[in-house]
Amino acid sequence: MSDRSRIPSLPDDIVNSILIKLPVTSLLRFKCICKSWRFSISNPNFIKLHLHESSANISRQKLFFVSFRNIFRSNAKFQFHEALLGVDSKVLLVNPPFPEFCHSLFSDFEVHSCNGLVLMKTEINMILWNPAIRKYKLLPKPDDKLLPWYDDALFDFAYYLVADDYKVVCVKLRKYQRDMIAGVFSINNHSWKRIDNIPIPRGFQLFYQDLVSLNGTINIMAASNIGNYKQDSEYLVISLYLANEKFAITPVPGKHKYKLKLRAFANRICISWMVGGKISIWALKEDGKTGLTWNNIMNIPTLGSLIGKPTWGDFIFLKANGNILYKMVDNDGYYLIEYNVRKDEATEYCLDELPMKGIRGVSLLHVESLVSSAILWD
Amino acid sequence: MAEAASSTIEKNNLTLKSSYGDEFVLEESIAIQSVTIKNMVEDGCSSSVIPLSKVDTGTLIKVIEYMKMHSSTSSNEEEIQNFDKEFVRISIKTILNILEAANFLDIRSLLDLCAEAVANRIKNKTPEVVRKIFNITSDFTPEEEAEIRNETPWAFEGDLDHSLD
Repeated sequence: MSDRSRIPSLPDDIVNSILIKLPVTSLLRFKCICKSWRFSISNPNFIKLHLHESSANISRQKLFFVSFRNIFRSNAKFQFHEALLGVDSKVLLVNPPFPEFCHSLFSDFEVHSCNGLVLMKTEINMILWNPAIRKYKLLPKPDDKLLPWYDDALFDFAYYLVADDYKVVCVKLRKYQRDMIAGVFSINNHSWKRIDNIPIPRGFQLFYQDLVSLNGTINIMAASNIGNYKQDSEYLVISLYLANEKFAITPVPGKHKYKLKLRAFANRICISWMVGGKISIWALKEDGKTGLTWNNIMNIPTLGSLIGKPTWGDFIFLKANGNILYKMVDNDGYYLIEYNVRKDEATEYCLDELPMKGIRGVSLLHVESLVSSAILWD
Repeated sequence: MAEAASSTIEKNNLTLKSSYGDEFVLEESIAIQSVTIKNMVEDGCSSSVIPLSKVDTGTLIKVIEYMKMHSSTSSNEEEIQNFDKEFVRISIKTILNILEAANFLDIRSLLDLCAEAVANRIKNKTPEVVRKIFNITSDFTPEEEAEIRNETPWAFEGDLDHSLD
């Protein structure tokens, strides 16, 4: 080495600035370098910062695919694949660490990702899983007396920063009572509790949808005129704050002919609809006085207009450079389309190793992390 | 790009002095990308030479090259991206020197660029090689190290990179 010799060791803050940019596998490997590196890598604060940094960086996000194999046979099971959204997006098969019985296919199945962890819910159990460190935990079902409707509830989970706790939330819509009830499972306390009578404003109804989890809130929509296609619907969003278990209700502007979808995008709770051939994206924003308000954050082309033919797909991610990532699925496979906003150009890359053909499955964006907080893994 | 300090320094120019004593004249508007220098200027040190006793000449030349490119109004986003990519195509040890300087001078974007570059270069390396690059002697007993390796054996499998750079 021709370089000048260096001072014996770099200051901790410089080492940390490098460690924070490393993938989880490298960090696990570098724990054995010396005590001070192991200390840094195991430090809960470092783990939080590392997760935060990874969440903001597209090349460290992963697409996580859950597919079902042999769906109608007795050996039906889940398969997991992941692909890093980097330059060379290779699809890798993930071997889940949990016992064989958890792989079995059941009709009722959900998977969610939040702050570095994956939550899977099947008919028989709930599995909390950190694929990056290959650890999992089976979560208990709630007592039938506490949440008798558990089996047909909507699910998601959220991370509540202040308590450093993950909470699984299930929501049951009660059409006739015009309200909903929620069950909340705290990972730290390892217990379920119930929140009753969350009111739905008059004239509005909940409908079947995915819950959306972001920054310690769980969000769900309600609409007017559900099932009446002759009339446009009004929408509102109900946000449950896990910090104090309070709710906020925010009406969505305008009336809408087509069903709206709530989502987490660009690190915000977003909703979108078509305006003049473009997708108009609106985000919920904290407003000191009135609580929450909607802001139009951007208008983007539809996936169909980018690739020149009608197609199934959706926008999924806002990159740090302002480009938008869409996902697209057709009979030939799973594609990612990157739309360069500045140049008004779309480029595509195909994840062709992914066995999507004829396979039923779901995909989600996942950030890998070292997170284990207070979780006692099985 | 390195110019000797002359007697006709304009008002908005600063002189940066490396640990080897080499002096570089730089427009103040460029130099204040460094929060450390900005603070010095605001504290009234701008008339004098700014000594950077922790930054050697080679490193300072690179840092100035970076600051000039990043304050240039004529270059577009793509040119800057390409510049950044080329900028870190140097030995890891040189990047580490720049990283230390960026940390001392408090230039956030340069620190991020260098940290990212080092991380990309070492992410597939073996612990042995990383120790050499960072001049670290392991303070674990062989038993302790074996135990850590056993916690996550898969992290040590696969095609790892044994090169020093």
